[in-house]
Amino acid sequence: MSGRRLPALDHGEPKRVLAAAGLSAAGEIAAIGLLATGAWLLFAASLRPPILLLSMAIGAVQLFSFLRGAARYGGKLASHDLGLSFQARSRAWLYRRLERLLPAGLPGGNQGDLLARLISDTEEAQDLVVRAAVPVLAAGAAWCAAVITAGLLLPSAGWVILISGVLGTAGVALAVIIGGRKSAALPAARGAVCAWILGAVASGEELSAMRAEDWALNRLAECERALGAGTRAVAAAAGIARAAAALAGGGGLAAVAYVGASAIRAGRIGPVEFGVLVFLALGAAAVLQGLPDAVSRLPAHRAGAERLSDLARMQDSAPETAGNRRPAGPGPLPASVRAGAAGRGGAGPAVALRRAAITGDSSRSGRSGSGGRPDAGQRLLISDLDLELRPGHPVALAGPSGTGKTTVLYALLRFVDLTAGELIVDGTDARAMPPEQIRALLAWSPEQPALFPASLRANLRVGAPAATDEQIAGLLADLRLGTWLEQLDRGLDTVLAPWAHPVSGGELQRLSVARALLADRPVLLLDEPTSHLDPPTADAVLAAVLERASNRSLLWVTHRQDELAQFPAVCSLPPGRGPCSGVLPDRLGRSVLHGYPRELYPGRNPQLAEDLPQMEGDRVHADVLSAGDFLIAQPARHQLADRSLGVGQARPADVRPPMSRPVPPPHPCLAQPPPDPG
Amino acid sequence: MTGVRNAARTRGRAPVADSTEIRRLIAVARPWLAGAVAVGLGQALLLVAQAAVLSRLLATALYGGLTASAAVRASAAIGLLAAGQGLGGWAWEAWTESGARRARSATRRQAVARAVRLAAAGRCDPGRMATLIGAGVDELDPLVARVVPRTVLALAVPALLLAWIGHLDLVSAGLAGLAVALSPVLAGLVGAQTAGAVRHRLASLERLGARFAALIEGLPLLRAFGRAEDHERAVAASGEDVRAATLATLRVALLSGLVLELLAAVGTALVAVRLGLRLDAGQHIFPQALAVLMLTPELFVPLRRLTSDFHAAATGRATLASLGELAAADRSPAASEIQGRPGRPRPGPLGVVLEGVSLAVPGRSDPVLDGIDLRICPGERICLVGESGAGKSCLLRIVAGLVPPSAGRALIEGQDIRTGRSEAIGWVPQHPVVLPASILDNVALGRPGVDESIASAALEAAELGDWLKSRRLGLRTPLSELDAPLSLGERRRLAIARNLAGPRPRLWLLDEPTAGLDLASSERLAAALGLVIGGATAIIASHDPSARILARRQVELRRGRITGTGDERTRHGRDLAFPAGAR
Repeated sequence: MSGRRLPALDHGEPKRVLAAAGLSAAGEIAAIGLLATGAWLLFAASLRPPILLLSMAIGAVQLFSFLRGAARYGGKLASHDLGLSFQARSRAWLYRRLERLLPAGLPGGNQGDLLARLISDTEEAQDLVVRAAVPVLAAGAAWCAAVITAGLLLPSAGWVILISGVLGTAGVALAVIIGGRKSAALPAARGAVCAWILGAVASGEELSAMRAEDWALNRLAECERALGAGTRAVAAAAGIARAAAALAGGGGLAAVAYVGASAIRAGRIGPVEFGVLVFLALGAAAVLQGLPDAVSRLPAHRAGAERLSDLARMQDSAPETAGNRRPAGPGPLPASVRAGAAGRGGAGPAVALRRAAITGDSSRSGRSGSGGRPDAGQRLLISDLDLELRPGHPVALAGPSGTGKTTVLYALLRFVDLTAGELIVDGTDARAMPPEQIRALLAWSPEQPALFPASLRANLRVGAPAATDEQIAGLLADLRLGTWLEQLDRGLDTVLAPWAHPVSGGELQRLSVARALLADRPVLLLDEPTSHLDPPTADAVLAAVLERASNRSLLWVTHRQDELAQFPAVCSLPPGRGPCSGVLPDRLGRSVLHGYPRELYPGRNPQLAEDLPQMEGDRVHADVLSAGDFLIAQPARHQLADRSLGVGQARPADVRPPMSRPVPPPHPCLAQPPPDPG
Repeated sequence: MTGVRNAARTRGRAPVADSTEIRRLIAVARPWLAGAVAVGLGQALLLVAQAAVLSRLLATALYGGLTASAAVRASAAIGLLAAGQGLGGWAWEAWTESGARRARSATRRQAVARAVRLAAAGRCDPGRMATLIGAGVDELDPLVARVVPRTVLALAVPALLLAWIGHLDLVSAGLAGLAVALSPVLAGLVGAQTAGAVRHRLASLERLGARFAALIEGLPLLRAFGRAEDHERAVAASGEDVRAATLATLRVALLSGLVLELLAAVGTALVAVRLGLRLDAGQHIFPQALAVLMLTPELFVPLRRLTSDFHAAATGRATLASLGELAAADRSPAASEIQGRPGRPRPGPLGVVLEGVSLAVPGRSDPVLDGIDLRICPGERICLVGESGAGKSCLLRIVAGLVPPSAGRALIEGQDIRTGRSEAIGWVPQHPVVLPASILDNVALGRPGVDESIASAALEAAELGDWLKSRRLGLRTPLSELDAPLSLGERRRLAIARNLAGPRPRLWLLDEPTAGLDLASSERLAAALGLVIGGATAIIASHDPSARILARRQVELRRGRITGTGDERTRHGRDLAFPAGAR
């Protein structure tokens, strides 16, 4: 089954649909037969027919009544089975599809809408078969049986039933088509409601704090009105369809009565046939009455299936290597990588970006790069980037918010494709390898970590299914989470979820780092792992990571200046001002920025002695290397002073770098803040 | 009852609603449902009339003497009755839908209000709530629109028809009545088997929804670690689980329909035999016999329809039970229990007093906050420092009134927070949430008087002016989380803009406003904050020096207790909380 297409009817399916329809049809035909035979029995009994005929008729009645029940049962079961298996498969397909599309993002999509697609739209699409296709086919078969039998008895009656059936079906179809547009909007409206509910509940804190709950509820009522319009349209269509079906059925019955009566008077048929014809007409009317239920929601079902197919048509984020289905599990490392590792004494591969360029949407910031196809409104986020990660040489990545640091990580993880340049893993171009093999080398801690509603142990073992409890506890202790772990009632079995057991921001970050460390992969990518931590804990985490990753490659994204100081190599990303080169280790092992174009530093070159922090007794004016938006204050740390350029001791003091841009006063139409008491 | 529900929950099954909840559900929809029941009764009467007309026509045909005018009259009568049935059919659909819609809206509104309150206290799962209140409430439609009216009709219509049949032939009525009386018993016996399976199905569906929502969040991570396939298998497996559970339910449910059909056949056969004997004995009751035989199968139809709808509505009943649990969880101590006079609000910044505030979280042996005593003067700005996990965020949430403290109390201007606040406070959380609405709605949050100019001014003041200009549709751009996700810094600034758009708050609570921002941005943000806070009271939880600069006083939290407090500026920039030389 191709990964992209909706799992519609595949190989064995049409047969199953026909089988289910056949069973239901048998049931309906048996119902008609029951009516006809029962009527014959009733009328003919008074005429004393031969006993054989009578007992045959009684036997037929018993057979038909049993068949009616059993075949209906079997047919319903078969069609529901079909629908349910389709539903299960489409849910699994939806999940697989989302894997491909995220983190490229879904245009106009959001979480609640996705949830609605998973739960409700799969049900709607399933109903196409269960509620619509099978019953309609069965009804059609039964109606044909009625027409044929009536026609055999009295041709004009057969015509009457035929015409009434056609008219009834046309009326039902018309009703459904008229209401179609509004009913087709039903699944989308449901998605909007679900999205709003998800958003409102997720932002419950802010809504409560700002007294905006009523607004959220009114908004919900608005979304519900749209949904209500859809259900009203469906009900109107169903109502009119019912009326049309009843009129057609009743009209057919009346016409048969009239035609039969004139036929009796003309002597063409006897009263027995008349009775049978009337009952046949009743049966056909009943069949017609079943149609509205089946087809009144047809536009909604189709719209639901359409919404699922939309996901099929979207572009994948990073194109997987053409053709091959993903292997189960990470798979073995490619030979070249293993050879390279052996060459360096088994320390692991080197990952490098050479002259990489990544495109991103200029109106977006942060996460998504959509690699490979620059559209209007997209600009190069990163251009000409060289970055190399080697075991034992940790690299820090710094830059203002929105310059694409996370996008660089995404490029390494092969979530987005490079517009230009290449990603080299141990001498091999990454495009030659399936992305899973590259990801098998990487351990990632995202900027906004996600916890799954599972136990702590399961959360930490995502990348390392074989980790033992002792390893986990030791790692958490290193990250200063030891006491936190001890005072959890259920220890590693605690289920972590905001509603079950709240976890603070810093704890969450450290758990994510622990997860990445535990995975024991050659390359560590940590995206702002200490942004929510207080300085002592941040230092402890940095020390622990540097120690544990001493034989691995490490890329550490951060804003903190003191952390940058601890890295021998720093790569900085200026906000799109032009090419930037990554940093290769400095010969003096200093924390220094390389590669900034000279014109961004009018007169300031960090390597020249005269630009070093001015010392004034105990106080240090932090020197700034200003690059427009990008400020770096040389932290006045005595550690840095030691490995700095021989300036002497600097002591911690008032470090207050000046602002690069003045802050504008608040807009006059905003409410004025309470006056500062001074 | 709650104990039973909890027991059911722990066994992995969802409990099922009871009748009081159903009654509350349909309270809003009663007039329409009553109308629908009347329509159903009317349809039954029309059926009786049709049977009478047809039996007379056929009897006349059998005995000869069918005149043209009689045939025409009969046809016309049948046509009219058909028109009546058509009208009734339309009315049934329209009115049941109306009632269901109103019940749905009322239920959703109530449920979302409760869920938002719970979420404010941090006690609910958005994914599960969205599945429950979104798709789950949709499942209430069959319950309201079909089961409730059909329950009434299943009693009324057979009674009506039996009365008419009894008028025609008493013994037949007795025989048919016996069969009708047996049917609910049999159907009930069969239905009882499915109850457990239904609960299992709903529970697995809820789990699927909640798990899926969490997985969307963490999908990139799973892909990065190569575990996405495992979860793919898990999703497929749980989908199979739902399928198997549903099919098991259906098998038994449809069986009850089969049983009823057979019972109907048996009943009709008994009546037919009885009438046949009477006819054989020479009694001229052909029209009556025909009418009875036409109406006898109709006796069983309402109950058959009810059983099939009953099982279709089973998920709805389980949803109702889950909503009942939500209501129970939302029960907060009544405001009347807490002493407090509203008082007249004084102008100017608010003062905050915390007396012995403690907060215990289930699942943790130590309390998150332990005996916090803190007094913050109006207009004072303090900074909460401490290692992560020390309870700073929880303290802010207690002051914001989102979480009630387990012990002690928090007072704003002398009034206990739990009695409710009259005005909004400035709240900037660590992870602000973006609503799936336009930028204007996200900033305004529906407050009156916040129009486009104020919203853009607020965004400018919060340093989002350039970002706003880069948006194609400006303030009308819809923000959807997955499409163009905002970075954390942008979200924080959006949260600040939200606070600026309304009346200026007199108390600000900021949770790590500059975490995750680079130095330049945090400097600018801190300066902007300093200006917008002005003279209002502010409690800032932060590690970052650029944010700490805003505050005059520092309060250190360690393991839920205050261990230090001091003036930031009296010492030479040396932090109290951290040993010298570390910075």
